[in-house]
Amino acid sequence: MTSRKRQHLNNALIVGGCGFLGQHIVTLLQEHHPECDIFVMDLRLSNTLPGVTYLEGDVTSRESVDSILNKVKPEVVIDTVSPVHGLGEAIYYKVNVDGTKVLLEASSDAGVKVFVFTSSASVVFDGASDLINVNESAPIASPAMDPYTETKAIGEKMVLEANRKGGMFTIALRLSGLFGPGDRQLIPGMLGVLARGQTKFQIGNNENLFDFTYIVNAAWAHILATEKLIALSPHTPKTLETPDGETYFITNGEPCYFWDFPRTIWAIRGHIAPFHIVMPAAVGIAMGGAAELFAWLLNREPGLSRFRVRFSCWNRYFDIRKAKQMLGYQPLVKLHDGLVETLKWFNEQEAMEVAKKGQ
Amino acid sequence: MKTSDILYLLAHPNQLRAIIQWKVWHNPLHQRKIENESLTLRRCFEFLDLTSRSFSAVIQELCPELCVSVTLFYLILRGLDTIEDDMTIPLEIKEPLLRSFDKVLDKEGWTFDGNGPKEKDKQLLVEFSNVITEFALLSESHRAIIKDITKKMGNGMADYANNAEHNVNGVNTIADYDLYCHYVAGLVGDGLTRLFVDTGKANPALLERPHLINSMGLFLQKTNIIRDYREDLDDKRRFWPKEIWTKHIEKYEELHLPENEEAALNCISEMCLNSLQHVDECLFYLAGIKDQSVFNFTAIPQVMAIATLALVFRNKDVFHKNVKIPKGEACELMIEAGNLRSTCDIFRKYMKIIHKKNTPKDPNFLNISVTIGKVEQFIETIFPTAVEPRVVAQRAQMRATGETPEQAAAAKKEMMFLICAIVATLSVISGVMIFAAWLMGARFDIAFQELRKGNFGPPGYNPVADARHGEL
Repeated sequence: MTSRKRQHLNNALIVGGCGFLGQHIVTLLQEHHPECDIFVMDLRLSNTLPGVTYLEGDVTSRESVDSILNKVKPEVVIDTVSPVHGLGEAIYYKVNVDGTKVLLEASSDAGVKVFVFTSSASVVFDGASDLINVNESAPIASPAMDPYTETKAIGEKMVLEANRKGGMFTIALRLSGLFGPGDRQLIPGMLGVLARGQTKFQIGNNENLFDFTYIVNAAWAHILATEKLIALSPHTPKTLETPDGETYFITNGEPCYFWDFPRTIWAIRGHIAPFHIVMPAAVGIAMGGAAELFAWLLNREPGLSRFRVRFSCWNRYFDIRKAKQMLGYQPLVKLHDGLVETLKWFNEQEAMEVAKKGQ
Repeated sequence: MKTSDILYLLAHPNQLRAIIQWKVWHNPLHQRKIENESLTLRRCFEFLDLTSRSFSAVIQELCPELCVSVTLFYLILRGLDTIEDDMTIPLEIKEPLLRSFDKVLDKEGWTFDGNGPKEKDKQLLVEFSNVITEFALLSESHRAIIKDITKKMGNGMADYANNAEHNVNGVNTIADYDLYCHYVAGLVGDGLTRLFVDTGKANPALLERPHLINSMGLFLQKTNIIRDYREDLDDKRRFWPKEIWTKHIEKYEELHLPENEEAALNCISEMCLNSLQHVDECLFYLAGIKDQSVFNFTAIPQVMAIATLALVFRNKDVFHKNVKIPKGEACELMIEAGNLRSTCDIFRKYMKIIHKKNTPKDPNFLNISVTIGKVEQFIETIFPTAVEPRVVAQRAQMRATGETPEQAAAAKKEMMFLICAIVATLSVISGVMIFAAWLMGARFDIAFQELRKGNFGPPGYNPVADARHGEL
């Protein structure tokens, strides 16, 4: 980490700061910007850290948001709010569209200077085609892959259109394949495969590249974006050279073959499959369909699904040169090192669980 | 040609075809006009054939402006190497000779007969006056380039000759390894690139990216160092960096032992990973070449190197003998590497082989995957995968029905599974019912017999029997 004079930040409000991504943004801000007063707004407060002010609030309520903005008077708002996958379409719309709209308008009215929005790389994904070294010139997918992605795309569009309205700079960061400490989806899913003794199965030929992103790097991108926009003078005209009003793909910059990633996880856990049973994608999809049917009959969540099967066979990696050039983004942590750190965290969590049961 | 070679080629007809194709049908882009050459120049080309079996043909196919310059450059560096390699020459003679070799190029008639009898290229130095005579006829700019590189190479070699630590223990750190490879190979790339640009055959922007030039040399040199483990060890030389092999084993010379096989494979894997990190820069460099013959000259060694790297990757034979790509495969590569796209495809092909051999047992498993992925991504940057019409049709259908063909197929399969489930359920229930009935005394055997006789209904009404009952 090259030490260099960092742009001064007075204060920042992290909306959704108790979440997976938000808590890492808070930690990195404390580390790199000790001068910054950090405030967190979330629906339910958890994972609290010393030296940070936590405020309960609801992004879908204008009164709630106004109350907090008046109290904090933030220079920067970082919106990481993301409803958990699996909730209904109505909630996605309420949080990602209505909530983003409320937060944008309230922030602009409150004189916030910089608004950073967490978007998703899936906004360019139509659920059918490979994403091969895609950059920001790719169009928003229409129709969207699913309701969550659709609402995320609408939110992103609103954010970019709000740029420089009322003097507020905005920016959107499209994240892909997040994993790390606090992960409740990606790594647990792969550890589940290990627990069920299914590591010898491979769907597809493992020649598809996938971009996984270590959460610290995603958080780091948010801080870099913030610094770049704070440094912008309100009088600088908007050009292709100015970073505001744009969206950026953020990854680890290390696409790898899909199955190599879970296999590395299992190897770090001391397990290496003695052999691999390779199934063509079509067979995998059929099995996924059957699994979904039985899960539906038994009213349970399927371990295997058609989406997960396709997920493991797609190419899905991104060209992040724009983020490197415009934001000065470089991943802080390499993919392999990120995995080691993540599994260390999971080991600690499991040890704590065991200790709790022992009481 | 040996019997085993013949049998090998009969089992690999594609490679046999490639050899025949190369020998019989290959038309050089440029051909020397031997009748116009002086005796000294002809002798130089003879030395080129003698000292460089693999690349002599490619050099001689270079465009006329470069062919002689590159040939002489090669022979001069070979001369330097012949002095440096010779352990029978005392250091007090070797060092000043290496350091002043660029000045030797101006000494008309200079020769050297101090090599030991075993040095196989010694004759080049005995007749080095031929090289000097032809060197004097080159253009001023080419002479300046060649002398500059010769001086740097000579100084580098002299430094290593003086380096007792290096001569006894070999290379220590990865940085030392890169520096050594820079001196013996990176500088050659630098000189060649300056010759190319000077004659207008390459993009001058390459000169502003020395790391690309350096990677070209380092990739070749590192591949050779990995492949030549056994050969170098037998000569009591070590070039694998200590920083790498000490992670896997305590004694460099024990990598071949059976009990160390896993450690040895992981070690060579890490050496290959180090080399693979140059690949995207090599391809970047090749994109800057404008002339076809120069492209062939630069691309062919690179595709040979990636093929060799795929061969040595996690290959335990490296620790026992010299492994080489088969001649037929080499001919295939020379034929195929004619443009940047086909060269990228060759790199892709061999990286897939490395990817297939990669295993989670290896501590660098994910790093190798990522490094190959990075090269794939680079290739996608210069040759983006076209969006196939099928994909466009898929999207159109998706807009119409909200479903992709894949989803439609999956839905059909789901329907099939549902039907199967229903049929199975009905079968099970029927089975259970019949079994229960049988337990309760149903005479299915009698029913079956009656059905076979053709009696499908219960027994018919018999008035006589009925009447008898009336009498009682």
